Amino acid sequence: MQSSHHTSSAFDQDLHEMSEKVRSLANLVERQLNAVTQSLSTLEDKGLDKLIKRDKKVDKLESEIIEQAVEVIALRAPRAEDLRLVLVIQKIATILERMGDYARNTANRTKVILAEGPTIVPVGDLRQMAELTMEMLNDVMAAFDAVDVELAIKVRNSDVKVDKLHTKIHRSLVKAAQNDPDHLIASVHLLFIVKNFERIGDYATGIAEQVYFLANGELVDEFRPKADKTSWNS
Amino acid sequence: MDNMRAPVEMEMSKLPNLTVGDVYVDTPRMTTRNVNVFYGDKMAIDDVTLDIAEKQVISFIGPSGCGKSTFLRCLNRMNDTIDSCRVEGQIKLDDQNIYDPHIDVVPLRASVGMVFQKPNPFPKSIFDNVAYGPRIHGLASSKDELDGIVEASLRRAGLWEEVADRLDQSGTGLSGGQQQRLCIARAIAVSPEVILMDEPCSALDPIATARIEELIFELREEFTIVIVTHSMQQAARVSNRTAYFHLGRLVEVGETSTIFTNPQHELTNSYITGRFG
Amino acid sequence: MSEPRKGIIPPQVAISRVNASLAARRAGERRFRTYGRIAIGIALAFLVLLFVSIFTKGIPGFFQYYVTLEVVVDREKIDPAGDLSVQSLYDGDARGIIRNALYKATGAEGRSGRKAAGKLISKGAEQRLREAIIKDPSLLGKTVAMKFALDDDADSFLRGYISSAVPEKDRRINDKQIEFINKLQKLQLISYDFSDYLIFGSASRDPEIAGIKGAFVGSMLTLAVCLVLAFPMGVATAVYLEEFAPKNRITEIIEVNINNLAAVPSVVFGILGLAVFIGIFGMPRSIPLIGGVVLALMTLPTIIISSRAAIRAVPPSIRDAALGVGASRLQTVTHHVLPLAMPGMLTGTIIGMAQALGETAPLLMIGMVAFIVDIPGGVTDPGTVLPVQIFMWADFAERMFIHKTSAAIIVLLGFLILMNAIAIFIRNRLERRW
Repeated sequence: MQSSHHTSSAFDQDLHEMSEKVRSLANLVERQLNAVTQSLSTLEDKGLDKLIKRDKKVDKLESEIIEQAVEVIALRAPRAEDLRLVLVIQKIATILERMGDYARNTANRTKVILAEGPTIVPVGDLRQMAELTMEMLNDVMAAFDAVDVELAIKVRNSDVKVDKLHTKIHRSLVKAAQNDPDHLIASVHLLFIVKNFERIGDYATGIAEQVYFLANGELVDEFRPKADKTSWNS
Repeated sequence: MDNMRAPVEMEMSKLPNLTVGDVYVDTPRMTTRNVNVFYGDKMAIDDVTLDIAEKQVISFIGPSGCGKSTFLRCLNRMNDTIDSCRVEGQIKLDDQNIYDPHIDVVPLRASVGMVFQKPNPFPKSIFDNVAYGPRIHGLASSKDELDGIVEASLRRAGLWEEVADRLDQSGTGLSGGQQQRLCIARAIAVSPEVILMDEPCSALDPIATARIEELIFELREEFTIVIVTHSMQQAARVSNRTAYFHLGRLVEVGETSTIFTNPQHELTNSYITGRFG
Repeated sequence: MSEPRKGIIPPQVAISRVNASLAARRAGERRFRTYGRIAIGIALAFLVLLFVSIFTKGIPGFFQYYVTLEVVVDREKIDPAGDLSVQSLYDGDARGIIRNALYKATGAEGRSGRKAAGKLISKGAEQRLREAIIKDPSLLGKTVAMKFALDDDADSFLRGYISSAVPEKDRRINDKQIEFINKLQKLQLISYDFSDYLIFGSASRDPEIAGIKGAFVGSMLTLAVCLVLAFPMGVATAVYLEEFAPKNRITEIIEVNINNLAAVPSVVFGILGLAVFIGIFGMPRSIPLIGGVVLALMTLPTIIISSRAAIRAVPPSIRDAALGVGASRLQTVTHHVLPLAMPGMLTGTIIGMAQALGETAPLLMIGMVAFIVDIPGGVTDPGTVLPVQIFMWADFAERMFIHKTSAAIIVLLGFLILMNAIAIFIRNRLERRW
C-alpha cells in the first residue's frame, strides 16, 4: 500500500499480512451476505446451515487480526501512517465481524421464515437493499485497498439510499403485520432482518470513516445525511 | 540517604530466586549454568543459567549496571583482559566448557566473534581490516581464497556494493554505519558460530541503526546472535528471545513477543512499561 | 511556579550586577594579557640577543684569510725518493718550496726578514701541498698557483684585532710582517674565503687549521651507538611495562625508578661509566663505544617514558577489536599497538637523541677530552664529540678560536634544530586520528 519499504523487512511483512487478513475477512463476510441474500431472494434454503457454521471462521479471523495488531504495536512501535494503518485494520476487522454476526443472525431468522411460509416476504425490496449494502461493502473495501478518500465519502453518503429503503420496507412490513396477523412471526423476523441490513449499511459507512482517517489522520466531521425515519412515528 | 538506599533494597527483595520463563531450549548453541562473575569482591553476575538457542537472536536488556555487558563478555572470555574479574560456573560452546584451563582463548574468540559499541575498525585498509582475522588464523591457503573470504564477508554484511571499488582505502574513512558493518564483516570473516554484539547501534543514527538491525535479521539464518541493548525497542524489533537482567540476576527470559506483550515478572513489567519507581 | 525561588537572584537584578562587575573583569583580563605579552617579549628579546651574539661571532668563523702563491713544484725537492710515497714526501722539503714562493712574493730578504715572512703562513700549508701532490701527481715539475691559509696572527691582524698603534714589542705581529702583509694585499694575493679547515679539518693547536671534522664524526659514532642500544631496549621496556607487566609491587618499583632516573643529572651517568666500564671492565677511555653506552643509559628513561605515553595513547578499542577477532596478546601488540604508537616513540627518541648530542659532562667524565687529531674510524677508536670540542676551544686564547668556537656552536645548534624539526615532521605526518 505504501510506496516505499521499511528498512525492516519483517515490519513490511507484518503490515502486509494484516492487510491481507482483513481483505480475506471482508471477502468472507461478502460471501456470507451473498449466501443469505440468495436464500432470501429465492425463498429457498441455500446453504444456510453452512453459513451459520462458517461464522466461526469469521470470528477466528478477527481474533487473529486483533492479536497481530497488539504484537505489531508492542514490537514495532509503528508511527504516523503505519500506526493509523494498524489501528484502522483493527477497527475494520471488528466492524466486519459484526457484519458477519448480522449475516448469521439473518440466516437464522430466514430459516424460521422459510419454515413459517414465506408468502409475505417483499423479495424485490429486500434484494435491492441487500445488494445496495453489499455494493457499499465492496466499494468501501476497494476504497481501503486504494486509500481512495473520494470513494469512501461516496460510500458514506450512499447510506442514505439504504436508510430510505429501510424506512419504506419497515412501513410496509408494519402495515402487512397489521393487516395479516397470521404471519406475524414472519413479519417480526423480517423487521429484524431489514434492520440488520440497515445496520450493515451503517457499518459500511463506519469503514468508510476509517479509510478517511487512514488517509487524512483526522476524523470525519462532515455532516452525514441520514434518512432513517423509523425511530419516530411516521 | 536512607531514601536512596531503600528502593534498591526493595528491588533486590523482588528478585526471583529462579529465572521466570524458558531458560532452556531444545537446540542450544551455548549453555551457561550457575554463572557468577566478580569484580574483586563485588558480585556483578549472580547465578545465571541460560541457553543460547542456535541460529536465533537473543537480546539482553536491563537497566544500567545490571550486568548484561559483563555476562556477554563472559561468552568469549573477553573478561580475561580485566585483572580483577573472576568467573565461576560453567559456560559451554557445543558441549565444551570454554573456561576449561586447556582451552586456548584465541580460537575461541574466532568461534565466538564480537562487535563493539563504538565501531572500531583498524586504521588499515578496508581489505586488510577484513583479511586480518583470516590471515592470523591461517584460514586461506592462497591469495584468491583470501580475496574470496573478504568479498563474501563484505557481501554478507551488506557493505560490498559500497566499497568494492575502494578496498584499499582506510577503514576509518567510512561513515559510522559503514564502519560498524565493516566490523561485522571482520567478525564474519573468521567463520564464527556465534556473534556477540555489545550495543552495536548505540553510536549510530536511526537510519544506520535500521540498516544494521535489518542485517542482524538476515544474519540469523547463518549465525547465532546475542545482542546487548539498552533500547527496548531494538530488542523488540530484532530478537527472537529476550532476557531481562536486573542487579546481576536473570529475572525473566522468553519469546520477545511475550516479554513485550505479557511479561510474567513484575520487575520485567516495570522495566518494559517504563515504571521505574 | 507559585512559590518564590528562594536564594536565586531575579534576572533583572542579576543583569545589572553582572554589568557592574564586567568592567573589573575585563580590566583583569587585559592586565593578564599584558603581563603575558611582556613576558614573551622579554623571552624573545633574550633569544634575539643570544642569536645575534652567536651569529656575529660565529659567521666570521666560517671564513679565514688565504694567500695565493706561485709555487714551483721542484720534483726532487718534494719527492726525493721519487715514488710519491708518504715517507718520501715527509722526507722532502715541502715547507721549503712554499717558503721560497712566499719570499718571492713578499720580497723578503735577510734572515730576520725571511723569518718574519715565514711566520706569516700557516704551519698546515706544507701538508696542504703534500696532499695536493698526492691527489694530482701531474703537478710535479710545474709552477702552480695555490692557496694557503695565513697564520692566525696575520689573520687576526687582517681582521683588525691587532692594531699597529700598539708598540711593537707588545704586539704578536712586528712591523716587518705588517709591511709584507700590506705588500701582499697590494698584489691582491690575499683573499678572505670560506674556511675549508673548519668543517674538514680536525683538532689542532693552531687555530687556523683547527676544524670540527673529528669531533663531528665522533659525535655521530657516539650517537649511533646510543641509538642502537637505547631505542630497542627503551621500546621493549615500554611495551613490557604497558602491555604485559602484572600490576604488582615489583612493577610499581620499576616504574618509580625509571621515572626518577629521568631526573638524574647526566654527570652521574658519566661517573657510572667511568667506574663500571673503565674501572671494572677495563675498557679504553675516550672511545665512542663507551660514550654511546653512557649516553644510552642517560636517554633510556626519556625514551621509555615517551614510548609508554605513545602506547597509552593507542585507544583500548583497537586492542579490543584485535582480541575480539582472535589475536593473541603478542599479535595485538606487534600488529596494532606498536605501529600506531611508533610515531610517538620515534618523536620521543629523536628528542632524546638531540639531548644526547648536546651532552658534555658525562663524556668529560669518561675522558672523551683527548686531543685527537685523527678522525675516529670506528667506535673503538679514540675520539671526541662536538660539545666537548667546543668546550675545549673555549679555553684557548687565540682570537680565531673565539670565532671558530662560535661557528662550531652554530653547527651544533643547526643539527639540534634539524633533529627537532625531523621529530616534529614525523609527528605531524604520521599522527593518526582515531
